[in-house]
Amino acid sequence: MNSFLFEQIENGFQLTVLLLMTVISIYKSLKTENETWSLMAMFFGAVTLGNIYWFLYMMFYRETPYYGFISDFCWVAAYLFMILMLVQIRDRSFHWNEHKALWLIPLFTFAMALFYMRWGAYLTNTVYALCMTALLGSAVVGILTSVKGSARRRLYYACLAYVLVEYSLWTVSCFNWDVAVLDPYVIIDVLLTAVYILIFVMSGKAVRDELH
Amino acid sequence: MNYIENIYICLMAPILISILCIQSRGRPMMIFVLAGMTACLLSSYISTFMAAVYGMDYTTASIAVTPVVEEVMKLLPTLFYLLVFEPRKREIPYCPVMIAVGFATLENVCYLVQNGTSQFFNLLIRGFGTGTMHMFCGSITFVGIIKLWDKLWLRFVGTVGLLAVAITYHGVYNMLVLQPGLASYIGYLIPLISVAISVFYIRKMS
Repeated sequence: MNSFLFEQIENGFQLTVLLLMTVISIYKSLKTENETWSLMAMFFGAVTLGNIYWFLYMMFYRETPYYGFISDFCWVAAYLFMILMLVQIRDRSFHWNEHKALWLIPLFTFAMALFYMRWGAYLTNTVYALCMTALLGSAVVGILTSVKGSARRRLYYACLAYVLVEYSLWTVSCFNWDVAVLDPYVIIDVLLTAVYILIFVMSGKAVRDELH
Repeated sequence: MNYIENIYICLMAPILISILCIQSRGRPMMIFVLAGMTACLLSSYISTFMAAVYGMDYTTASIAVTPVVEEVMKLLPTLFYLLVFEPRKREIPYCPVMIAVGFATLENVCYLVQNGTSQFFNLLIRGFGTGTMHMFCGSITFVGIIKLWDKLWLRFVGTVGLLAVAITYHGVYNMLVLQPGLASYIGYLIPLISVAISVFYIRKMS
């Protein structure tokens, strides 16, 4: 089995999982009228749509999109929805100066953006860096302000894992891996699917805690 | 070659007359339709310009540039109406729908002029597919502005997010309808199914 076909199968699997979680999130959002579920539905919907565009382009034209910014729009939208969700469920207000170490987050994200700019567009990488700073910041602040062992804290940890896996995926994609099936990119992409499921499960638990 | 401005003038003239003659609630409706057509005309100019600047062919421009330009141009009249006139909540839904109607009408007429009117089945599917897609995409963004968020900054971030979703939805639709055979029919059916599901849920909830 060649790596292109393996990647397509893996993409198809991820897409199916995302589609399923989008449908369930929309159903739960309509049933419970809960804001967290609404934002999760938007998050999963946006990721799914961005992936569908990418996947269809690769299926029809047998190459990655040269102008991939349409998918980027959707993925950035997904980050925005996730940031909104993390901010909305936060237990208390927080000032960045309370923990000076938090300033390391923009340092990390923009250093990574500079690294990615060797291959990608300046504007796209800057936008991603801004989104990731906000997302990483919201997740870490959420961990610092939430009750130990609570479902919300686990959701924040899941979001943190999501950011780290995304960074691993982007970093791995910068290099050529001359292997047939066990391509690190594909393996991390499988891990990303697992993290999506983790976020979905943790959001469910956080909402359950909120409602009871 | 299409002289879109000539088509626009032909379609716009009776609507403009009706705007001057009609009073009461019909007038805003016709203004929205005209705004949609104008947005379509401007989108066409901007998309062509962008495609020329970046040296894109028709297919690439249709799936990469057109969705962005069209969705942003469709949103602008809605935003103008909301920010300047501050309408009551129940009056707002007409705005994005009528703008989408105007937009899709001009787009369909241009398609007819370019491709002829002989294939009934294709035109039937395209007519419904394109019209529904424009209405659905316009409504995605509008729902976010009106329904979802109470704080201004949340509304702003959420609107940007939903606009991005609408752009990608439009991009997926354009990519599918540009393919030959079954893929194009699936593309035309996606908005119809999306709207059917949305209407079903809205009715069930209300």
